Amino acid sequence: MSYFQKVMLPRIIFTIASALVILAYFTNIPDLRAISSELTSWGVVIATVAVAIGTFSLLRVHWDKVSKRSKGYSYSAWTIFVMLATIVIGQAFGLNSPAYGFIFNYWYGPLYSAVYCLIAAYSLSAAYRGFRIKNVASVVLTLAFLLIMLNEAPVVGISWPIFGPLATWINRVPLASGMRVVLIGGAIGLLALVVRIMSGREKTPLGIGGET
Amino acid sequence: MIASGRTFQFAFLLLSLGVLFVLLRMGMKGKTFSLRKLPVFDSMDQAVGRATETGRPVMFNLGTYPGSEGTPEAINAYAYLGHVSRLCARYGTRLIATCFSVPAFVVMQGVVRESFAAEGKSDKYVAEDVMYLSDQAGAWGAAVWGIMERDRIAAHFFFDPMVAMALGVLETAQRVGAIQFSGSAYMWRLSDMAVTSDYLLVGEEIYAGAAYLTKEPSQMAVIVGQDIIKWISIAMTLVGALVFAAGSDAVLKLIVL
Repeated sequence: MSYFQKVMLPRIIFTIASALVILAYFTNIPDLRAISSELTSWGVVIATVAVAIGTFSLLRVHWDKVSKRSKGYSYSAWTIFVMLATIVIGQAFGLNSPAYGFIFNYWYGPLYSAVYCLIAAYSLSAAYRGFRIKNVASVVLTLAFLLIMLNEAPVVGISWPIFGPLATWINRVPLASGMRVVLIGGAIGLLALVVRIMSGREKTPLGIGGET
Repeated sequence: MIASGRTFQFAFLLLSLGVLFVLLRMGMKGKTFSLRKLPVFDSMDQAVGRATETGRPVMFNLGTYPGSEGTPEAINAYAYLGHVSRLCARYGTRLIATCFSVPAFVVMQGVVRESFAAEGKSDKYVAEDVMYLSDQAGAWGAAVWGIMERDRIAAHFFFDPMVAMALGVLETAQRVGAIQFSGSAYMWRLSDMAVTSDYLLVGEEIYAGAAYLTKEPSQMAVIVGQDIIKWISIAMTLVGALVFAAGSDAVLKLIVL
């Protein structure tokens, strides 16, 4: 692949597409808005193609493992079997069929819920680490957390109404200010990134290795 | 021609782009800017070095949802992946990179392969170690936890952790004793990262960091441009607050122009 195809062409496409979408947002020219809308919908097409690529990639990786009898190849064989079975059943009986529903309701659903349940335990251990009082900042963090949490408990909200306004103030003033700082900073950083890509300084989105 | 209520926004966008392009031009012409040293990036080197010494792998996870692989967050993550890949290639350390978005997977494969090639270590590039695991957060999370536990990773890099399983991934990396780097420009998952990571990049730091790592004068100049726009924004906010407190809504009217 030539340098033009690999670097210049994506840069040109990125610059033109970005400029069109940005101009469509700031102006009220109907044609420009139609083009912008069309460009945005192309994302859906790309995502659909991506599913096919993903399927082939998954098949290739696991087939390689099975054919080479790599460590844990039996899991790869099972993955391929389940994937193909799901595709075949979906195609043969339809997406609303009991057979296809069985896979989702009795295999996928319970497995997904089981994995999700672990997040509760992880939240506890993360909270323990986060609210250990080591310095002034952690004292402030813990107090704010306690105030917000106590306010969420109905009995506290009714018995001590002072928690309500305090918790609301924490949410609306310090928390909202902090969030806006991060968002505004992020937006400025985003502009800088656009400039770096347009000028060809940033090439990693094209799958070209990083610089050190 | 300009949509109603967006004139000021458009003018500010043009001003910001102007500042950035001028600084970029200055950088490209050779003007150098000194930036304060950011310890987090030296620590990335040390974390990969530690992984090399202990013979354990480095893991890079991209938490971008399918359909969001072109977001600025993800694009920055590719830049960090490039840096980490080059370090791993240089030190001969195994790098495991995963994601749960196919387009991101294709880009990640390219970044890691090219980074190994840039270090003259193409033969050390292992295609199987760049993985697309699933497009379902639960399945992806479970697979990543398993890899972390089995391979006892020594360093973990996690960017754009939008996925619901992010906390589980971060906590598992903590449990296996990995040095952890994470970053996001959004508030989403920031608290999870703050309590579990050794090094955290927040907001604009994540964008500035990707440029900082290149050490190129032009990219450094863009970071300076970022700071100038930030100062302009702070000044506007202060003036707006003062004018509004004084009883005038002139600034408010200007913003919604």
